[in-house]
Amino acid sequence: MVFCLLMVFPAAIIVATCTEYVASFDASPWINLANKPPAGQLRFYFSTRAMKLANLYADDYLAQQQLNSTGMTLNGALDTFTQTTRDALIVHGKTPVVWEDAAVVARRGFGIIHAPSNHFYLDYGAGEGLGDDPIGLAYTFYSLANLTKAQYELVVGGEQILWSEQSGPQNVDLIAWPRAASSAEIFWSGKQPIGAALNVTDALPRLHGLVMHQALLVHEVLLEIFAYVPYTETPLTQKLLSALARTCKIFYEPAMDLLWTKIYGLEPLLGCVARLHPLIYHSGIRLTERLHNSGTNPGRKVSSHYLPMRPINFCVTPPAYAHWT
Amino acid sequence: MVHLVTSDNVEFVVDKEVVERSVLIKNMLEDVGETDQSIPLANVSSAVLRKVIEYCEHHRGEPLPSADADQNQDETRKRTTDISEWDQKFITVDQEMLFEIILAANYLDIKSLLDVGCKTVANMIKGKTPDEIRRLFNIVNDFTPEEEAQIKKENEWAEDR
Repeated sequence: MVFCLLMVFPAAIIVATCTEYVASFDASPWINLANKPPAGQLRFYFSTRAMKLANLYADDYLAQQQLNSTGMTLNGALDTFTQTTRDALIVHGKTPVVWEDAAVVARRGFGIIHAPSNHFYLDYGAGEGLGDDPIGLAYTFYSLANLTKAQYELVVGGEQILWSEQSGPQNVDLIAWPRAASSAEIFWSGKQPIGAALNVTDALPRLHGLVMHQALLVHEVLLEIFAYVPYTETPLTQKLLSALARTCKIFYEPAMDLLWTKIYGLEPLLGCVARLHPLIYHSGIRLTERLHNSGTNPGRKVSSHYLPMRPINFCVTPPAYAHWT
Repeated sequence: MVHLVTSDNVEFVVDKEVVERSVLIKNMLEDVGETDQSIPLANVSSAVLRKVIEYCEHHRGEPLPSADADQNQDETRKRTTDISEWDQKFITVDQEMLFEIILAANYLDIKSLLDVGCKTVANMIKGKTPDEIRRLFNIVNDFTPEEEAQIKKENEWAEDR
């Protein structure tokens, strides 16, 4: 099972409307009070694990006042809080989740959702934290490592974590992909069919296989590739260039340039005039008669339509269209 | 010897004669003169540069196309999509690596290698329909059906012969 989870620091959200629920919001220096800015913590709190809590609550007047009046220690108060919130969740049929070392959780026989910061944190890898190759690192994670066979079924799945203070609509796609896909593969298949661990060298072509390669976005490269098309299969060259022009927008211009560089006679040009199109292609009438009967000056229309766009070389002999001489 | 450093920070030490098949690096060396400083190639990864150097090693000593001969060269070299046996074997790689080599050859300005890559792609699309080309390269069709029909109409003389 794979979880895609966007976590929100509750304190930073809640402080906007309910200042009194948040201890030491935006206190500085934040580095002493929180893992990431801004500092601030709910005056009692959802998770059971937070490294710098003691410091934070020590400076908070209301928290200390409450502790003194009840005679509780911070840990005692946390226990009470955690037990109460947990019971409330269970009553509603929910499963409480805590942060804990996977080995400890497995020993106690609880289910595990992996979220190893040294493999999967999406915040990391944008220049620091996971080194130069965060995808490669994600692929080295093996979800059943250090577990006994009997414990395998405890692994429920895993999650890629992205903390909201480092992301927003502007960059979330860039941060999440393709690493989120790599972890999906890890938790779906765990290892290769032959039993070996997954590795990034095998996975990259698959990931890249999901999108068009950026080489095909480079105009010079496209021109270079298309320039060889005439020498692959001469009689069908024009058909292939036309197919390329229709493939996608970025192919259109270079393919059309090549296709229309060499045309034989006026027929293709006249066919571009909407009114003449059915006459040229579907009437079976010879060109001279068509010109005679059309009553317009198609040459003028054609030249204003096409000549400014691309230069045209007329060939005297029309080898492919002998039927029209 | 010339020192090159790739995007993933791997250093390659290569014969000057080999590396100068890249017009980009050749010009760079002419501008800078003799130097022990390594040249950073921010757009090329070590896996790709290894292939590029393999190609340049094999073709070392062969005449480079000169700049003023470019026009004539263009005509003759495009006359065929034949690829020599060694080059054929060299370029038999997965699609990802093929396009990476093309990008590197374009960036490093190694004309003959760019040719080999582009000929290979041209041979791959031979005889294919737009749909087949899209499937081959994972291209999204960003034309509306009307636009596509319009282009087909415009090119009708080329389509149905």
